[in-house]
Amino acid sequence: MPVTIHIPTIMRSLTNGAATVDAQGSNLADVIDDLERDWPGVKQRLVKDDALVKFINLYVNDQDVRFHSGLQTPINEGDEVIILPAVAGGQINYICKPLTKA
Amino acid sequence: MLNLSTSMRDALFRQAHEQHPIECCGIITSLAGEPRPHRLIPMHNAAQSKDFFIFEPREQLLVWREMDVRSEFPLVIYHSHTASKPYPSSTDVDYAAAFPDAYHLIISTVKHFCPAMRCYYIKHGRILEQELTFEQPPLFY
Repeated sequence: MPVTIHIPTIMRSLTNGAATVDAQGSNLADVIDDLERDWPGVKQRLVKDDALVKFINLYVNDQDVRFHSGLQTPINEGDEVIILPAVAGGQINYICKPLTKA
Repeated sequence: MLNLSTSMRDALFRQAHEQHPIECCGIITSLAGEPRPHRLIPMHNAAQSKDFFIFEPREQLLVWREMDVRSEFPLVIYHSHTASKPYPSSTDVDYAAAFPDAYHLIISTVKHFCPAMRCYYIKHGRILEQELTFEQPPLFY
């Protein structure tokens, strides 16, 4: 079942600059495996230890798959898959204590 | 060098202090081919945390789609540090890897850090501070 995958700018070096590519599969894990066959290196950017990496948001028909079935999210013909890098950060690991006078 | 209008600067400080002690976040867009700040888009910090921020994924998708329609790009990604200086943490560096061409602006709401707003490129794990200036818009055109 062919679906369209939207590739973010940061990953287009892996798809010869293509902003959208096609892939097949009955669930998201299968689609990512199919992507990897055509565009080696893509899977490593999306999956680690059989789970989605925290740095990436993956949407199927605009729904964030983390709130559904993750990699097991079913895929149907004509679905649209969007990959976006998560925007996050913060001062974790960098807490400065205010200067105090001796 | 990033040159912000004073009104945009004031809006960033206002957002950071209004949401303190929760970290605030958002983006400033530019128009295609014009690397100047165009539009300030405050985003919801889905983490609602004092030491972490993350754009709400659904809101991010809608904003990214809107930017596509308007031919805009994320010129600046900003957030606040509410208990530390305005310098990237290791978490900031990890997540910034996906946006090597964006300025990363950090606002500290801790009073004793001056300047309280600083700007960086973060590329390949390296932090490169960028000059940050503020421009008063002309009174008359």
